[in-house]
Amino acid sequence: MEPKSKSQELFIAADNQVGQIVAKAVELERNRRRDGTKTPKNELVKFIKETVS
Amino acid sequence: MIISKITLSNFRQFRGKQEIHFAEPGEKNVTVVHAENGFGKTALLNALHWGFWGKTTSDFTEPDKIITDSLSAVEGNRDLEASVEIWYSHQDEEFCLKRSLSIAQQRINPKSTQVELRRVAHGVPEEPPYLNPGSKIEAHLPRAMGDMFFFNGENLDQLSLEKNASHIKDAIYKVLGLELLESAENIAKESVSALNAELRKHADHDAQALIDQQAQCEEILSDLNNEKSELEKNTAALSKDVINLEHQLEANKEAKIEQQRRKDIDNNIKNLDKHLADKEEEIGKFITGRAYYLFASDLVLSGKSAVQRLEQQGKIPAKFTSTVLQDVLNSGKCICATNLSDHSECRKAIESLIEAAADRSLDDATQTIKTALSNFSSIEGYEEEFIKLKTKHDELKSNLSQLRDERKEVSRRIKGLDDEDAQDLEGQLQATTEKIRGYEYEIRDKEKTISEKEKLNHSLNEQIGAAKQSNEAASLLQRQREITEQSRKLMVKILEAEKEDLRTHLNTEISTEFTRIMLHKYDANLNSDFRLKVEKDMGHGTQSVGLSTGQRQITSLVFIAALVKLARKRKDIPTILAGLWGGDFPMVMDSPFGQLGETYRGKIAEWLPTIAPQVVIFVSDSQWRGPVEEQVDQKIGKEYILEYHANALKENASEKAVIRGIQYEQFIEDEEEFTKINAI
Repeated sequence: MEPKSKSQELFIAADNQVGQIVAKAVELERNRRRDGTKTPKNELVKFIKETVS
Repeated sequence: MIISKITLSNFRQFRGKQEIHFAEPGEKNVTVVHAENGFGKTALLNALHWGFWGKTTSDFTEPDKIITDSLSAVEGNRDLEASVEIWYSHQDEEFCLKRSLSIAQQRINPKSTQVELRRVAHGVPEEPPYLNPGSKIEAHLPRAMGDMFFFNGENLDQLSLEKNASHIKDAIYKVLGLELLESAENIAKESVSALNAELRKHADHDAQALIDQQAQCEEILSDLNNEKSELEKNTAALSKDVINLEHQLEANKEAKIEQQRRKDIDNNIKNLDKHLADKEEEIGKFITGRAYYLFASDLVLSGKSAVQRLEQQGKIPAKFTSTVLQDVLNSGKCICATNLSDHSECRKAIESLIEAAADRSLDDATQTIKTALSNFSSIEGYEEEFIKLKTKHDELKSNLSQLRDERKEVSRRIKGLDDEDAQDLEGQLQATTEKIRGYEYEIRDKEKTISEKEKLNHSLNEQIGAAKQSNEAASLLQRQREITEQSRKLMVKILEAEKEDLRTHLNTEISTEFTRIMLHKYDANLNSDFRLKVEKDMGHGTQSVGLSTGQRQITSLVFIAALVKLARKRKDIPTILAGLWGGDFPMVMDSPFGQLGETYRGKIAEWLPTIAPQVVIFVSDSQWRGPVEEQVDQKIGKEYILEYHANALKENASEKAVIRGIQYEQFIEDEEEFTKINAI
């Protein structure tokens, strides 16, 4: 198994919902940069509400 | 990213349509453009900056005149357009971007340019162009990277100055993808605020008050941060002015000598400042840890003499204690078996001994004090050590004050030179430096207030998270905001971990490249504040080194090279930012050998082709000849010379360039002023 970096270890150790939100925020920001769209704040809030219910 | 071609149309002095094809990665990965100073090297570098980002470098004169006055004045040129077209490949795809500006638009707003970006298939740009070309280009090559990778070597030394740590941090964040995490954390922060606003509608009165308080606190924080960033921008702009003023002063021969002297003094002041700060820290630690010894010296002496007196009087140590005698009396029998009946002589004798005997606890206490006092025996050593530290500190302070006086004297001499230009420049330089110092004080003040407000914000945040809610909707929103807040905090931790991880990798690259180039046994590294430090090993530790302009230029170059190398390896470094690619980036350098002596020129010339997959060098004849030509010659894939047309030759420029023993015309006397790009 490949050695994990400290950031990967932090991510793995995080609570499931917390991890999902981090991954989603990074994904939204990456898409925003790729497509040149506006800050996806509302999309993240929508995702949070679906995930934490 | 690899650039294959640039086409200039009426961009500054490059009239008509002219192009440069760049050498591809491989054995011969270097493109050389020969040009005398003033013939168009800086304009060429700026064609790349303008083409990619619509901006020019700070040292580019008249940036709002992309189409020159002489060209726009020609009758029939009313519809003339300037453009830069760049063909490049990025992640196995090819692209063509074109930025243009018409004369009419230049008159209204020269910053408003037209840009089109197209994917290229089989050598042909596809239709339609991308809808958001700016974002696409920024994703392929962020502007901060451009500043790092397309640079003017004459100003490069500035990058290694401590005050430019923020540029270094920016570049690392952008080149290595950390900016993505930083922005993601911002989205999470905004989401917490949005959830807060919603929670306020459903929450109890107390929680509402806390939310309002936090919103207010965040607003103040945002204002403070904006003000701070405005001050930082102003400082950065003024710092650039200082560089330009210093360069102009250097152009004046007399001022140049004094200017160099002042720079040397500045380096010494910087070093002494650092040593003084270290010494103050050492004294601080000494005082915190051991200073009470020094202040207790009188007490220790009187304590010692009191104990001594008691010993001389035979009072301590006690021969027997009152407790033992009392036990004997209570038992009614002496240790010699004599009965101790009331009023008996023996009983009276023991009772009188009790009065003279020491109290047990007093005896123990005296012994403890004696042991403690003996620990102070090294007090004289501490005093000596403290005096040594203080003497060194005072010596440094006095040297520093002498240097500052010397600096003032040099500045006064520059101002007093019999040259109005130099006097004026010096006056401007001093005023600008003073302004920068003022801004720096303001920034420190803002930072202090920001830190206080951040603490308050954090505490309010905790209180909102812990506040009891009386209805289900509010409880759910509170949980959602709490988990989002936890996510945001995790992002901050991850960012910190990734930053440290990359800094370690970067330091390995910097150290390797630096030892390859530097003749002295110095080591360079980035500290946790992203300050580029050069140190030498003193055997018992390291010491910061003051560098010459040339050495600072090499240090900056090494940092950029290390960054380019790390960008290529990025995909192999473990990260949570899945999908980050390793990027190939070109390095485009205008006069990279400008400030270097002959020895370093040869070394740098040998090293440059190895640091990036594609290397472009703009170089004057005098910088080219000798070791540079020898080292780079075998690596050249494409080569050009700029032919300058004008009615007079510029000062210090020569009409012909000699390349590999062959003479090339580089100046043509002409009524019109323009530059032609000729392939060699």
